[in-house]
Amino acid sequence: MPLKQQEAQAVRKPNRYTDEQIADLAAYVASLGPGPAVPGKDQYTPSGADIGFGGNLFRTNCSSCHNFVGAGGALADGKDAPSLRNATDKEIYEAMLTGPGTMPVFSNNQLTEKEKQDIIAYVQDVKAEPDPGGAGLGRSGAVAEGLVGFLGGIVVLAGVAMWIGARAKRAG
Amino acid sequence: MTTIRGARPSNAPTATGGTTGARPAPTAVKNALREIDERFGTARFLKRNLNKVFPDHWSFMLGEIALYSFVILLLTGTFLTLFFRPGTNEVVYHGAYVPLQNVKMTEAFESTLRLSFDIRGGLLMRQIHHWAALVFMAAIVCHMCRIFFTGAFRKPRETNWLIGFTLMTLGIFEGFCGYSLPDDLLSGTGLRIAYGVAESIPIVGSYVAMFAFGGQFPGPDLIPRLYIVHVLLIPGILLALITAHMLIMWHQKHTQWPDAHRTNDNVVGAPFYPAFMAKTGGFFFAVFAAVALLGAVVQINPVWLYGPYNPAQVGAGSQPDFYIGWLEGTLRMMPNWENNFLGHTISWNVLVPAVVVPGVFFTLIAIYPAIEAWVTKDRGQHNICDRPRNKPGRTAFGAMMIAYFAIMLLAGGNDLIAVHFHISLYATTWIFRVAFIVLPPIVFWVTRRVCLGLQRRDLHSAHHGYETGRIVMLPNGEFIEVEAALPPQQIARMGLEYRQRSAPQLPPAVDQHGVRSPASNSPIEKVRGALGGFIYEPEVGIEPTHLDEESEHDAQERHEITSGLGD
Amino acid sequence: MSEHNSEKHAPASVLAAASHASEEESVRPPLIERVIRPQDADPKRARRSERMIALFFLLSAVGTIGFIAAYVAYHPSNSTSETQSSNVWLGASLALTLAGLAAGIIGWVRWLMPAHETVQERHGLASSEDELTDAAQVVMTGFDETALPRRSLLKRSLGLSLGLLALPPIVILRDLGPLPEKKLRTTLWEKNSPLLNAETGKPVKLGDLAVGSFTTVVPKPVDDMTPEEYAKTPVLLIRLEPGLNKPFPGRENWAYQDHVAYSKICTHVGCPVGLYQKQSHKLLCPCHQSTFLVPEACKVVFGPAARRLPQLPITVNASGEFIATAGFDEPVGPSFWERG
Repeated sequence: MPLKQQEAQAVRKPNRYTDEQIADLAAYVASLGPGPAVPGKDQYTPSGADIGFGGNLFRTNCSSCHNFVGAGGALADGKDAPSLRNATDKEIYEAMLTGPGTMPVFSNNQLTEKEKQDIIAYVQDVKAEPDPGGAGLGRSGAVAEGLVGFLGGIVVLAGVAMWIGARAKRAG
Repeated sequence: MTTIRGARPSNAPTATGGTTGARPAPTAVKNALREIDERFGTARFLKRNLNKVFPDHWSFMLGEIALYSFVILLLTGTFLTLFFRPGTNEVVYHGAYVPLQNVKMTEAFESTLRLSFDIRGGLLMRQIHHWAALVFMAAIVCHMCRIFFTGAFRKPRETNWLIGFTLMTLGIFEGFCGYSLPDDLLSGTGLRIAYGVAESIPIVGSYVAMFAFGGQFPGPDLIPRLYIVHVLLIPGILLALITAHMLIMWHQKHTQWPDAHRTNDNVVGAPFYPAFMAKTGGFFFAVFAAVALLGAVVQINPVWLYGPYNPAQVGAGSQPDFYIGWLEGTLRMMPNWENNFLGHTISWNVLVPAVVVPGVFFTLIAIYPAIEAWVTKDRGQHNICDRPRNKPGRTAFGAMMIAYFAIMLLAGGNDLIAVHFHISLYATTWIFRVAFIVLPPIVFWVTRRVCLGLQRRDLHSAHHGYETGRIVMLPNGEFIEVEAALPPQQIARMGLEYRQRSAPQLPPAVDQHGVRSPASNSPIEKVRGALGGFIYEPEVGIEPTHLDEESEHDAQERHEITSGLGD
Repeated sequence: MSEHNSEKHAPASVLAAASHASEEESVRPPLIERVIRPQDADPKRARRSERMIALFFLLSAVGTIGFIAAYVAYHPSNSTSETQSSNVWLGASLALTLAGLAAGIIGWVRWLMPAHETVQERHGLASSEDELTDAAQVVMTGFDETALPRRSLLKRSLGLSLGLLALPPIVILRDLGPLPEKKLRTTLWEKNSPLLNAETGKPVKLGDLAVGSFTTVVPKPVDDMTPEEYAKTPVLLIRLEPGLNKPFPGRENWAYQDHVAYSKICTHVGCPVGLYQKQSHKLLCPCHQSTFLVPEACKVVFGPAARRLPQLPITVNASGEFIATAGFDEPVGPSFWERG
């Protein structure tokens, strides 16, 4: 905030306000009416969480916008669901609670605090997990793999074929 | 450049010491051959076939990429079958991968995780298997394009074109079955789409879906059925057809590019044993090395990230492998047309993109050789490859089909394009819809013009030679550039005598006695003529240069001054 | 050796004169061009090439040893990063083994095996006209020997027998699957079905959902349904802003206090429509981008889906839990021929 320009998707940009100013603004808005408070560390820190269950919750509620592991995805109206690559525990908790932009709201009656922690634990763990198969290609799926197969596989092998079939060098 | 007949090829010993036929075979070798020969009559066979000549060009090795990928698929696939369990019963995961701990999943998914995280070499074999599948299909497409653009599907090779086409369609289905086996969220979504497509078929749709899947979706027999189709039925058919494909090619001998010494009635190259054998054997290891390296350093199909299949769940950015991805694109582009009448529904929005478009596409590919032979009334045997530029109609048609394929394929990833290039999602859909209609005919027209232009340039170079860059002043003060003739071998490589001829002269519709020609009225002949308009070209003429207009005296003078300067 | 010395300075391609040809008929295909490479002309060069090929084969051997070492050194189940190490080292060493073999064999053929251009005649695939006539004659004579041309009773009864033989393989596949009958028309949803959270199995109560929220519900706990029953039941319960909902005529009481319930199974080809955009109140299916406008009974506003999402009529029972007041009034999921 404020929006960089009038466009469909709000883009992250450098902060205009200091942390103190943000806290003051938040306190003022909170005084105007009811709404969720800024979560405390015990609320969003996923200690002892059930990662497997969190994954299940993530795949039912979140992955259709944010992709299987939170790499982000396209939405209608020119928007997109951002990648969760840089999201902190607090940001994920706050986003679920308030539903920023066009994201739905997940109140604590719907997804309890424990379930939110499970989801956060899953997202952060999967992000931290290395890609055991090698380069992850952005974890974006078969499109990138197909590109690599054609460019990496076929082009390289055609090159080898060109070496095999090349005209022999003549002496002298 | 005389052909040496009856001469020992390597009479003089060379430094490499390769002197075939220079020393008689040792007794041991002859005795071994005799033992086999007395049982199987192999000596005659060996003598003829070990000497078989194979032409040398890299574009002839694309089919080998497919062949060797298939072998790699068989080897790695066998390893996988030793550990994969195609069960749909539910189990709870207690393996090594933390984010799926205690999650309920089918045995199929669980055994795939076990292969990836608990069996040494399991993940490598899985990844090599999947990369080899992609390379297999990509190589088939490239090989098919090479056959198409060089006209190698013409008589006597029409059967091999049909066999190859069948291999391609079976390969697509095989890949689909294969990546659906782990029962993960991504491939399960694809199976759900397949069920919906089957349902859309008029009259028999719901029956087809229920019979194929064994009931309503997902169907308890689905994964085991996919398994047996994938590891037994289709590989068996593929193996038989690939064998037939190779035997036919062996018997008919390979085609070759136009060049010096190469005619329609010979093959020039290296003998099968040992040179070609070594080249192709080495290439097998190269193909294997390439997919092994990919399996080592690039992740593919990470099913643990997708999670087990659940019909209430889906991930954004779900795409299948590219050989199905073009169908995903047609499904996304299609407008939402559906008709209801008398209690029945025809879903054009599913039928057209998933059944009609691939049906038309594949049919065109399969029957193209027959169409071209029918239009051109060509009954001759063709063993020389066409240069694509020499057959502009065919090349343009092929380029147009590739354009269709590329648009469909890219449309399948439109949501990824929207995210990565910050384009509105709906805009991408519309862009692809318009491109599908507008772009391919433009590609056809542009390709044809490019081919004709390249032909013109070839003809010009063949007749006028090339510009050497040396400027010479004539006695009359005129400056000219010396043009030197191209070496004859380079002209032979142009294959000018194989260019597309103009349409044959038809008899007039009504002859001088007023009798109507039978061909003029027949609608079939009219179609033939119309299609011929795309295939036949007016003769590409040689553009005259100013040198064609000079007098004989000036020409002689110029020749005297410039001869010897072109070397 | 004098020929060898003269070749060193000769032009690249040397055509052996026919007069030097041996009288013996060669067993190899005849030459068109005798190619002399640097390796053919210079034995030092040839030995250098041989050493290069040997190096490739040696690297291949190193790769094989590396593969075995990597197999022993890493166990993938210890951690995901060890899975990665195991995979990359096993794979890289395997690739080295194979690439070494590839480069060695290809180098061997390109540098040390003869590169002469040989020629072979094609000898026409077609047989002679006489052979063709003879073959046709054999076919016809044999056909006459079968007695078929004369014995029409034989022919017809054979035709009947063989024709019928095609049927058993088809008939025996009848039990591949059940007949559709009414199966595609119904789901487990019926009057008084509870709306249970799909993940936890707990009933959803009024007040659980905030405005702009949505959740996935099922009529029975997932473990109590077969996969086939479960696959069609997921329903989205969405809470719209007050007053926004424009119910379909006749469906005014299908919503409950701005809560609406629609099938999650897309009417295009069946993917779950999981994407809810709270500001524009659109449901977007991620598979092929079919978009449904929730306040207007999920009518289709973009994409290939042709029909709205089926609506589930809901209300709240005495305990404040959401329940269905009836099942769906139309089949759920993709269209099919007999749908209506």
